[in-house]
Amino acid sequence: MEKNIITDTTDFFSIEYGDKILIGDKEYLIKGHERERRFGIEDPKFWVKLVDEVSTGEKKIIKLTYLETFEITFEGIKIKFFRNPDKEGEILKLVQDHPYFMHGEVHQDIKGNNVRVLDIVRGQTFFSYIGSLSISHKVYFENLLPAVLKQLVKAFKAIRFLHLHGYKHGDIRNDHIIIEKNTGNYVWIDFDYDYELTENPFSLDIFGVGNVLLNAIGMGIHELHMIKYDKISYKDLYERIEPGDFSLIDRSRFVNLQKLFPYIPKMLNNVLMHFSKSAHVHYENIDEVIEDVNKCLYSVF
Amino acid sequence: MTTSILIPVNDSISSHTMLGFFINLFIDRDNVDITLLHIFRKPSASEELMGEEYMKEKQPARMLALLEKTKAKFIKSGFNPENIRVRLSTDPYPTITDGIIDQFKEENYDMIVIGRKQMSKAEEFVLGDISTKLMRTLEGVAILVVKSI
Repeated sequence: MEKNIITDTTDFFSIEYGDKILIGDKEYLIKGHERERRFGIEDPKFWVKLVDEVSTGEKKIIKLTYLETFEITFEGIKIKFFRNPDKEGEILKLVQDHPYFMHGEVHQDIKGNNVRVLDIVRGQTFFSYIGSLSISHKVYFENLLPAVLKQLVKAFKAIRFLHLHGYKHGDIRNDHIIIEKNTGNYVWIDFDYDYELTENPFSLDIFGVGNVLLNAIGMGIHELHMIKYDKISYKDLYERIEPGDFSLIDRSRFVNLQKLFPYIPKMLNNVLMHFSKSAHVHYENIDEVIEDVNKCLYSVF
Repeated sequence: MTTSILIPVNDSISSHTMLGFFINLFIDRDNVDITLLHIFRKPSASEELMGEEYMKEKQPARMLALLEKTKAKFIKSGFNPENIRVRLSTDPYPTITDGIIDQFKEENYDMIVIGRKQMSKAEEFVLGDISTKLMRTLEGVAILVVKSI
């Protein structure tokens, strides 16, 4: 069966395996869809196509315009989230030579839809890297964490670069950092999410950075149900925890890691505690986070 | 010596509470120089949907009326009319805090009076708290924060 040459990408559901997208004078052969891989579930993302550039055979990702909007409630605060392909396109132009972001080009199809043609960042996500470690936390803490934090500081400086230019990443997650195979750089991907927070526009990026640090320092995320039911790993921790030990905007996420790993120095634990319910002072901007993590790198390790 | 005071005003309950508190405060009404200020913030995506006419034409007129009404209340309570100015900053700022800081730096006021609504810690972190940001950022100024319930 003859497949289609697509110049209008509005109906992205109908663009399927074997079709070709013609954009920016180049043809891209559809090989499949990207998938959202979270919580052990794989959902196809029909607006994200895995493609081969026909003239070179190079594998790319094409992101088509999908104007999804939804609302998320954090501790009673409703926040409107939406996909903002133009923002991602603008960032791609801004970071075209930046080693800590994915790269790509932004085009418009014949109907004016934003089409992003992305280079694939080869490597493992930070989330899966931490999850794949099969050593004790103490060994990890003493041998691997310093290098991890040094890389994270570089990645956080990249987020600072965005903020200085008025852009949010919008979806800072542990699986949106790829540890690039060839360079070891921690590279940010997927910055098309946006949210409406007018007075504190970068707060959820900073919260995301807190979650990345929590995963890094804790060698994984520790949730209330794990602490309650996994007595082998967590022993009597459940009896010692208080509401103030948990995340400011995610009440089941354990933040006060020093209670679990007593060798974590107070200074480092305090960085995490800025994101806890018991915090009296919060990070206002990412510079403050970077400064505190750097202080720990100089004085703790 | 005259004390110059910057009072950011909007149509929120916390701003209304702050103005009520300040007007009843025991201060030397002849020796204060007051600027009533309204800052416009750059519209968010959903505010832009309300249309250009609403954002750029109706809002400034509405806020100017609010400032003039507030000025009249100050005069009625004994403040010297010559020492009260209204300022409408129509060039929008990325955030209200940015606007207040910028306007503050133009005149170097002695004091800022601002209202603050009750917020949870999570709201403070996620939504942001103007009064905390002003306290962290500005030097050499007294900041009076009037908290509403």
